[in-house]
Amino acid sequence: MQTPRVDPRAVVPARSVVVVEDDALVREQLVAAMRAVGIDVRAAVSGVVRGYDAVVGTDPDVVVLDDRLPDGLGVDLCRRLAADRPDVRVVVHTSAMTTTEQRAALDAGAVAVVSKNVRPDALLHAVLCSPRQFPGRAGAWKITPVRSVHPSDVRTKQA
Amino acid sequence: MGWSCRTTDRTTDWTPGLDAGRRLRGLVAANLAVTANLTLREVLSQIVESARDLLDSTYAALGVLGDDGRLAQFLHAGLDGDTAALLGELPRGHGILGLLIDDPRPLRLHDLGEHPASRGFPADHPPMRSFIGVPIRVRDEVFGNIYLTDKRGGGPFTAEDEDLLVALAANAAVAVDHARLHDETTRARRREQASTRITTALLSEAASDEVLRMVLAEGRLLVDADDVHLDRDADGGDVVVVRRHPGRAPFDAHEQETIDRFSEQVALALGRARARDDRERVRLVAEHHRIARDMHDHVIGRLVGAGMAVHGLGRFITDPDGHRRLAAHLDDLDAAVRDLRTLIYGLDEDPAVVWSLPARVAQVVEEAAAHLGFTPRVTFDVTVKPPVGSTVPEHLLGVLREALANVARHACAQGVEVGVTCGADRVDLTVADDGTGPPQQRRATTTSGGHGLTNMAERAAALGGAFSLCRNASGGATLHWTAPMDGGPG
Ligand SMILES: Nc1ncnc2c1ncn2[C@@H]1O[C@H](COP(=O)(O)OP(=O)(O)O)[C@@H](O)[C@H]1O
Ligand SMILES: [Mg+2]
Repeated sequence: MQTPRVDPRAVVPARSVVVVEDDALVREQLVAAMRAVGIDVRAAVSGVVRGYDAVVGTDPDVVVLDDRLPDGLGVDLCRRLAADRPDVRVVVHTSAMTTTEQRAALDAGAVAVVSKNVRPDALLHAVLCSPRQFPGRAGAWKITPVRSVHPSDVRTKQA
Repeated sequence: MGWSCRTTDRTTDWTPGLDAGRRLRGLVAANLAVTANLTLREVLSQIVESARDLLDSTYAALGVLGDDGRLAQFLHAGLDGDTAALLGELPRGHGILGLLIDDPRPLRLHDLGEHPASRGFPADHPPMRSFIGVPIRVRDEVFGNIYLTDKRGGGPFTAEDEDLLVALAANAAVAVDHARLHDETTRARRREQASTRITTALLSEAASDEVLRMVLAEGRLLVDADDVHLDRDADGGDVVVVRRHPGRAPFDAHEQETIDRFSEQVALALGRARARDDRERVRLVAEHHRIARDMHDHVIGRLVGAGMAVHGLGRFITDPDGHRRLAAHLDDLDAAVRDLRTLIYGLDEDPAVVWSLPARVAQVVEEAAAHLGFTPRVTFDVTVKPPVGSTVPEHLLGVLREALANVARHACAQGVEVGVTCGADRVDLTVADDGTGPPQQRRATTTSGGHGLTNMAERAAALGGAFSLCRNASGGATLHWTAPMDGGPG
C-alpha cells in the first residue's frame, strides 16, 4: 500500500490531539509534524496513566497512542478510553503488530492502527481522516454523522 | 548305633517335678501367641524361643518351606549374633533338615553328625549333637519345621520332649494361621490406604513431580514391594519396575493385577508431570518471545525516532539536490523499518494505516455526503465482527460507495438510510433513499451504460450472496446486498 503523503501546506481544519508516546525523540518529532499541519497538540505524555489523565483533562478529538508503553499496553488504555471517553478517537501508533494484535486494538475501539514510519504522513492521514462520528465505540454502533471534514479536505500527493 | 529311630519309647527320661511347672508355663506362653495380634514373623520367633525354653535346648530353629519345597525362611535362637554372621547364608534344607522336609514326621537323633544324611557342618558352625525336629502343619499343609539341638546337660531329647514339641507345633500351627490372617488383613488395609493416598495424590494440586514421587512411594506399600521405580524399556517407553528382594515370595496373581492398576496410576501421574513440563516450556518460549519482542520494538522505535529527526531537518535544507538526497536516505530508512517489521512478524504486507470497519463505513458515508449535499443516516449493527482477513468488508464498502454514488447521481433524494448488519454467518447492507426510485423499465439499467448495479450483483454472486434494487412503496429506492461471512481470504 502506498503511504498517503500529506501536503503540509494544505489548509486543514485544526484538530486537537493528545500524543502518548514513551520515546522522547519520536514524541518530539510527532508533535512538531502535527503542529506543522495545524493540529492542536494539547498534551504529549509518555505513559498509560498520564495518557489517560491528559485525555480526560484536555478532551481532544484524537489520541495518538503508542501500543507499548512503560506502564502498560496502548490497547488497554484504548479500551478504558472507549468506555470512559467514547467521543475521543484513538489512533494506535505501533512499531510492529501482528494482524491479530491489530485486530485486538480495533476491537478495543481504536479507529485505526498506524505503523510507525520515518515520515509522519501516514499518522497525519489517520489523525485527519479519522471519521468524526466514529461508530467503533463499545456499544455505540449507531451513528448519525453530522456534516464534517472529509478526507477530500486533506489533499494528498505522491512525493 | 548312636542315633535313635523315629520309634521312641514314651516312658524313659520323663522327669516330673520342678520342671513340669516351668514347662507348662512355657506352653501357655506359646499359646498366647495364638491370640495376640502379632505378625507372622513375631509369632515364629516367639515359637522358636518357646520351644528352646520348653525343651531346655541350647539351640532352636524354625524353617519355613517355600514353594520350591526348600527352606524359604530360617529363624534361629541360641546362636550369638557373631556366629550367625560368620555362618552367613542360612540353611536351605539339605542334609538332616532335608530329611524332615521329605518325610515330615518327628525325628529325634542322639548325634546329628552320625546320621547318614548328615552332610556335616560348615566351618564356624558350633558343634551340635542331640537333635529333635517336628513338622508344623497348617491346614493340612506342612508349613515348616521346628528344630532343637543340644539338649542342656548333654543327654538326648526324650519322648516327653517330643510330645511337648508336637503339642507346641500344633499350637504354633494355629498361631501361624492366625498371624497369616492378621498379616493378610494388615496388608489389605495397607493396600487400601496406599490406594487411597495414590488417588488423593493424583487429584491433589501438589507439584506434579511430587505427586509422582508420592505415587511411587505408595506403590511399595500397595504390593509389599521392596523397590518401585521408573525406568525405560528398550523402545524408550516408560516402565514401572516393582521388585521384591530375591528370596521373597514372587507376586501372586492378585498382586499382579494390583500392579497393573498401579502402573495405570503411575502413567497418569507421569502424564501430569509431563504436561506440566510442557506448560513450563511453553511459558519459557513465550517469555523469550516477549523479550525479543521488546528488543525489536525498541530497535524499530529508535530507528523511527532518528529517521523522524532527520526528516525534521529537511526544513533547514534549501538546496533541491539536498532535498532529493535526503528523500533517498529517508526511503532507505523507511525500507529498513518496513523490512524489520515484516521479517520479524512474518507479515506479507505492511499497510501504513489499518482502519477499523466502522471507521471505513463512516469514511465512505462522509465522502458521499459531499456529493449528496446532506449526510446519510447510518445504522451499524454488528453482533459478530468479520474474521481477520475476511474479504467481505472490502466488497461491502465497494457496494456502499457505489450505492451512495447512485443515490447522488440518480435519485434526487432528501435523505438516505444506510444499514450495516454483521452476524456470525452473513453481512447485510441496506441503502434506502427517498428519491425518485429506479426507472420502471429494466432496460434502463442496460441502456444507461453504467456498471454500478452489475458490479454490485457480481460482488454478491462471487461471494454466494444476493443483491436487489427495489422501488419503495412510498417512493425512492431500496438497495439490499447480502453475502455469507467467509473465514478469511482464499
Ligand atoms: N438509488 C437510485 N435511485 C434511482 N435510480 C437508480 C438508483 N440506483 C440506480 N438507479 C438506476 O439504475 C441505473 C443503473 O445504475 P448503474 O448500474 O450504477 O449505472 P450508472 O450509475 O452509471 O447509470 C441508473 O442509471 C439509474 O437509472
Ligand atoms: Mg452508478
